[in-house]
Amino acid sequence: MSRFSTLKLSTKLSVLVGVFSVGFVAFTLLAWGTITRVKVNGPLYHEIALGKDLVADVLPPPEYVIESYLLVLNLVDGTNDAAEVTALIDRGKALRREYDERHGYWTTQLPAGAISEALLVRSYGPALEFFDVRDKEIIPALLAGNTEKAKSLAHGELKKHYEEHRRAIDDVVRLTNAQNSAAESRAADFVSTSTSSLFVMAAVILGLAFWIAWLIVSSLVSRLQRSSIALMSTATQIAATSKEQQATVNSYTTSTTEIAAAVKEISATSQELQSTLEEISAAAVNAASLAENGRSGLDEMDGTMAQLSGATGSISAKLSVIREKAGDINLVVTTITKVADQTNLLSVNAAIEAEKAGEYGLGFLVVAREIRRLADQSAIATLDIEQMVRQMQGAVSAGVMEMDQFTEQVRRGVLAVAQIGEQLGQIIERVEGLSGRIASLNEGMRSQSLGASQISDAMAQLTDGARQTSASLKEFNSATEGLRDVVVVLRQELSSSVSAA
Amino acid sequence: MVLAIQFSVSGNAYAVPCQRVIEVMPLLELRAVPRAPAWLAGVFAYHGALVSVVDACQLIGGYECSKRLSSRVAIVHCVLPELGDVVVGVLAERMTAVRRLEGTPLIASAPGSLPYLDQVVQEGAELVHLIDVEGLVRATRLPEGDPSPRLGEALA
Repeated sequence: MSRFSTLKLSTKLSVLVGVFSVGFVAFTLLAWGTITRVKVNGPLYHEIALGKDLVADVLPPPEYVIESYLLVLNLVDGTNDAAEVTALIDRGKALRREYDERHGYWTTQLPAGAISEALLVRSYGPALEFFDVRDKEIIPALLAGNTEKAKSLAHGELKKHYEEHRRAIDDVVRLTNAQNSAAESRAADFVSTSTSSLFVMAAVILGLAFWIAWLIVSSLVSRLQRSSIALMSTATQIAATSKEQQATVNSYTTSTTEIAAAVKEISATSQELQSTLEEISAAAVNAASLAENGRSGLDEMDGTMAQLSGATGSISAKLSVIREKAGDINLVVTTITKVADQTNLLSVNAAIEAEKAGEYGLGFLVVAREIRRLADQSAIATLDIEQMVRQMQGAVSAGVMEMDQFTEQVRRGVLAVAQIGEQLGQIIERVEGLSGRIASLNEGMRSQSLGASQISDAMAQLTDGARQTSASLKEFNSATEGLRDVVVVLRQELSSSVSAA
Repeated sequence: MVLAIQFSVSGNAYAVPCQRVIEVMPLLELRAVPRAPAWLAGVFAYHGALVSVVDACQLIGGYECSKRLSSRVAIVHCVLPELGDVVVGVLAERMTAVRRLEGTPLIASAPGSLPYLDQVVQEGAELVHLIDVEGLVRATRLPEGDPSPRLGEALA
């Protein structure tokens, strides 16, 4: 069946018509053979007729009383044995019953006509008379032992009835034979007429079948061809459309994937931003409290600075006094130094003079050395004092200068502290405002993050849908390809069948 | 065994024998000599005579003597055969002490390198370089034809 399904339509139709034709021819031949075989004067008829003829030829006919006649002749002429006579009489009675039986049969079967009249009327009357003579006269005569009477009756009256019956039977035979011949010739005529009309009808039916098959094929082919062309173009359009759609869906899928990734990034970024904002908010609150602390600290510092400024002023004044005193000390020291120097010089010159005086100057030399030692000590002491005073003066000068700078710095510091306090106040105001705004921003970011995650979910679903659509389109595409292949095959088949037709 | 007046140049101790010293004077106003060498600090009037003052710091150490109370001028004299008695002022720093040099004189490592430096005397851990006054006077004599006054002529 699978091989049959791959065959072309025209081949299939040809196969159908061929099978039908062969079957029909076979049927016709079979019918013809059957008719030929069973027709009158055919072989079967001959066999049956032969059998009937054989039976008719072999058996004594019950409707024909010849056996009864022969039995009577045998009774009257042949035998003297009582047993044999009895058997023959019984046989004669049986024959009479058979004759009545057959006569009843033919009375119902035969149609009215010459044969019926000959058999049922003309042969029946003598037969009845024959049986009457036999049963009522001959057999009683025989039984009475009157053989002669019986013989004369048998050869006389009985024979006359027999002859009369026989003539009627001969007529029946003649009439029946004539009727049979006429029937046979009629049957032969009918058979020959029927056979020729059978062949003619077969030829006509075959021709009609081929013609209708060709008509069907050609109309079907032309219609199918038109339909297949339209179908082909439709299938091509569908395939192109579905391919375009698939490409669109693919690009759509990639776009949605990209969008989903972007949305995820946005979500992550906004979450980070949110956490950052929370940190900022906390930091802002912290900064506000710190700034508050700073402002109160600055207020304290302001007072301290003012006190410091006053203190530096008094220190400066005291340092000026110390500088003046140091200057006085310096004057004294200078005087002492000059005196010591002079003393030293004097002692040196005294020593020189003592050396020049020789032996006499020795004591003077000792005195001069002592003087020089004292002068040196006082000079060293004054040098020390001078150095200390100078250092003190330098320190005081540096201190005064530093105090001046410090005072200036304190003044600027006070100014700066005031400015910083003001700025801190502004910062506090702004940070307090900022805190509220950050809170609202934070809320917005949270809702945005939520929205982004919802978008991300939706995009994921969308991507899923697009993927499914793409898969469906692929299937659709392959189906369309199959359709096109089928259409191509159909067209090939149709064109080949048309060319074959 | 000599009494000498001590001074200091570049941190080193030098001394002039007291026999050659007339007097030690404090640093006084000197008159500058035009176009004079750097070592000639100037001239001043000493007992009616013009005396040249040699800057020992400039001559030995190559730097100008600082103006302090301890910087003094020693008036020295010597007798030279070609010039006779010559008086010269020697200006030096830390000229404040007269000391008796009792150590053994050491032989100069490079004798005759400078004509005004005499022998070196070891005093404890300190080395004291004696000044040869005659050598000093000869070395600081200005050449002939110099417009500046001669050291010897100042006393004449």
